[in-house]
Order: sequence, then structure tokens, then C-alpha cells
Amino acid sequence: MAKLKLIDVGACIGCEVCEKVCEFTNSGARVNIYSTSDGILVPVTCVHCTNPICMRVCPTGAIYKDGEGVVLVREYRCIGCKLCAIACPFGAPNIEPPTGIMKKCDLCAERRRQGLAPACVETCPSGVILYGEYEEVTKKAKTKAIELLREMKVLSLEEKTDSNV
Amino acid sequence: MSFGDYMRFTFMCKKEKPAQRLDSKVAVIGAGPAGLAATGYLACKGYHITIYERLPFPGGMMVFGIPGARIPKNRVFLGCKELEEIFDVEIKTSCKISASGEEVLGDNLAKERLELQRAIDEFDATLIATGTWISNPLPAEGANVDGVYSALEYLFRNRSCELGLIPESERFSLGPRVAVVGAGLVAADAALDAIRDGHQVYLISIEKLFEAPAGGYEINRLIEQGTRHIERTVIKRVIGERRVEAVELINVDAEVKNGLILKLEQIPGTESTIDVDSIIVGIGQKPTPPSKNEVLGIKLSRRGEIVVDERFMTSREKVFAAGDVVAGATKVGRAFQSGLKAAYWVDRYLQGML
Repeated sequence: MAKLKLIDVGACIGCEVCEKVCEFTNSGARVNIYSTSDGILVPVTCVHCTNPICMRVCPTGAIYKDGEGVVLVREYRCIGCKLCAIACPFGAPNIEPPTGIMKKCDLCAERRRQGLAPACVETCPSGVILYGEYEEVTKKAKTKAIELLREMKVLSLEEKTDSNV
Repeated sequence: MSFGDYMRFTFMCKKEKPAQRLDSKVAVIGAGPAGLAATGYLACKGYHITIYERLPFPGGMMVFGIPGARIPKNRVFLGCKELEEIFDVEIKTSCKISASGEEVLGDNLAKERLELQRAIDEFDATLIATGTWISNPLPAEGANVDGVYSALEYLFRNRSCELGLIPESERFSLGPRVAVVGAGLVAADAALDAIRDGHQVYLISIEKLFEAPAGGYEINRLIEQGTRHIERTVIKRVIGERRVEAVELINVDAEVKNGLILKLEQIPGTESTIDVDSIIVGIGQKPTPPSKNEVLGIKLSRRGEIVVDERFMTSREKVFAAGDVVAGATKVGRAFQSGLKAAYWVDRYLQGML
């Protein structure tokens, strides 16, 4: 079954729990909080594309998708050419010294084997990382979206006082 | 199965009783991000853990400081409930561990007091994660009048009201115009609360918009909501005999790099005055270990932080420390990771592997 991870970037508070927990769990942070030039804090990580450009440009076929739709790296095939890092629009691949091998979020592959969710999903204080089966996550995301519309009064059951509306 | 519905401090293991139970008992002092992260790690290993929390609810700054719009309190409470119900962690709330008489913000809500000595003697290891609950005072003339509050006490009061611990009538009466001093996350959160409550907010900071430790985006959002940001400015003098009536501002020449103020000089002749009814000061916090003096052989740094070695152990055997009380006020994530790392070493210590 396809697994889906969605980060509600707009609701992220930039507290760095995901980054620090990932670093602790995976001996290196595979999600990092970066600041845009106008100060928006954004978690940068692999979004596990449907058609991963990194996979297409990889000259050695080191990048593949597993049965759950997660983009993974066969480290023994990686030659550290960095093409994936250049191609990725999100800057997700990390080419880390001293190995020079590409590392990125594998949605906590080891944890998933044990039936656990990725560490960032489990610990996010604000609950902005949605994860699970495709249908469940899309349902949650859509529910969140309409709640937001309700809060913004785009959707409202209150009677409009302005008769022109 | 649904994932990510609340903060799982026990994320290292499944939501089921740990396979093995260990005999060792661990005391955790402080149920903030560091204390709860450490507890979760050790609970998965099967330790008996008792958390001592001076406030009536666990969560620390995540519950009593940061507004619920950023971190929903229930996400923290559900994580604590799992610790208690599945992992048999005992969370003793309203129980203050102290080693001296000094009071910090919120201590008046504690119903029970316990000597630090006991929390050390009765356990095989003790982790201190008591955070940073003292606010730096406003360095301005005349700041000791009514109407000058720390951002932390303002946030704490608001959160306490929301939790039903204090009646609504005891919210601070700030008056229509509020000067918020600082540009960090605590100041920004306080400004956000003040705007929500309908106050005209002046945000006074040394930092320019994009130097703000809270991030330019947060400050911009405050500005969009009607805040007037007065940058490269400090309060020189608080005007008012008994209560704040106005503030005298002065421009400063400053150099700010990576959130640190490297140079600061007031520019004479640039004084101006604005009328305000209260001042909220969010210019940093100090660590609050169980005692501000060195007791029981637990060394403190010059800045009052607990000194630990690379294993997170204090200068006293079997006593560890983590989180902001060690590193100073940071972000939730850093405190959380500090708690996890300390717990790793507590485990190694109790396994006899140090």
C-alpha cells in the first residue's frame, strides 16, 4: 500500500523538533528547518515524488521506489555524483562527508519495518506532518483545509447581513 | 491505524507495555519538552519513572508559554496520558522540587514541596530539566513601576486562564496601548496574544525586521495585524510615578549577527516619547535550576546554567541535566533532543556501561 507524508508548511512553527528527533534517530538530520530570505521557516525534506526526478537522473540506478511508494537509495550503488541534488527542486538529497554518498529521508525505513511511523510524524508538537495510507492522509488534509476555510469565514453558516452578497 | 494524532514521547517504541521491566527507578524533574522526551525514551526501555512537575499540568513551556494556536495543548496532554496509562510513568504535578527557598514564576501553583536531596536519594538516577523561567528585567530607568510585565508572565497568565487555573478576572489589565520589548519568539508570542486581546501594540526592538530571532515572517505578520514595529530602538526611561504612562525611546547604533547583539550604542539626541499603558518585556530568560546557588555538589556556570559533561551528567554522580536549564533558552526541538541524548546516557549509566 502506498504511504503518504504531507507537511502542512503553512502551519509549521519551525520549532525544529522534527529535525532534532530525526538527527537523533537516523544519525543525521534528514529534515532541516531553513529560513527563506523573508524569514519563513520551512522544513526541507524529501517529499517522495510520484515521478522522482532524482531517480531519473541517477546514472547508476541507485535511487528507486519501494512497494509503499517511498523513494530510497541503494547506497552501494551511489557514486556521489550529486546529479540528484542538482535535479531535486526541494534540495532534499544530502551528499555528506566523509562518505560523499547521498543520504535523504527514507521515511524511517527501519521504524516502518517495526510497524512504527516516521519519528518526525510521531513527535511534531503542532501536528503538521500528516502520514499514513494514501486515503487516510488525503482525508485528513482535506478536513484540515475546510477547517481553515471555515476559520477564515470563507465557509460559513452564519447568515450574511449584507444582502448584496 | 492513525499516526501523528498527538506528541508521542515514546516514539522510540510501540504503544504497548514494554517487553521487559527494569528494576531501576529514575526521577525526572520538570515535565517540559526535555523532561518528557527523556521520560519517553526511558519508558520504552522499561524503567520506572517518576516525573515531578511543579505546575498543575505537564508540558512546560509547550503548555504554559507557547500559545495553543502554535502547539495545541491536547497534543501534549495525550502524549502524557500515554506515558501514564501504557508505560506506568508517574507524573506528580503541582509538586515542586527545591533546594532553596527562592520562588520562580508559577511556583505559587505548587501544592507540595519536596527536597531535591530526596529526589536524588530515592532514585537510581535523577534528571533535572527545569528550564528557564526567570525573565531578564527591562534595563531602563524607572522600570520598577506597575504595568511592567515580563512576556513570560503575561503568556503564563493567559495560558493559566485558558486552562481554568486562574479566573478570567485575573488576566493582566494592560490598558489600550502596549509596548512589547524584544524580537524573539517569546516577545512575538506575547505580541500576538496582546493583538488578539485587542490592544494597540508597539514592538520595540534593537533588531531590524530581518534580524529578529523570531524570524522576519513572524514580525511581518504582527505588523500586518496592526503592530507598529519600532526597530533599532530601546526604552531609555519609563515615565510614570506609580504606573506606566509613557516610555522615552532612544535610537541605537547596533550590530546584530545570527541573533546576537555584537554592538550597542545609544545615539544621543534621538530621544522620543510615546504614550503607553503597559510594557511587556521579552528580552531573554535565565535558567532556573532547583537552586540558583550551587547545592549538593551540582555545579552551575557563571550564567546560572547547570554544568554537564558530554554524558549529560552533572558534577554530582547519578544526577543528570538536560534542556534549557543546561543550554539556555532555545527552541522546543533542541530541548527535546537534549532530553533524548541525556536519557541515552542515563540508560547507559544504569546499565553500568559508563
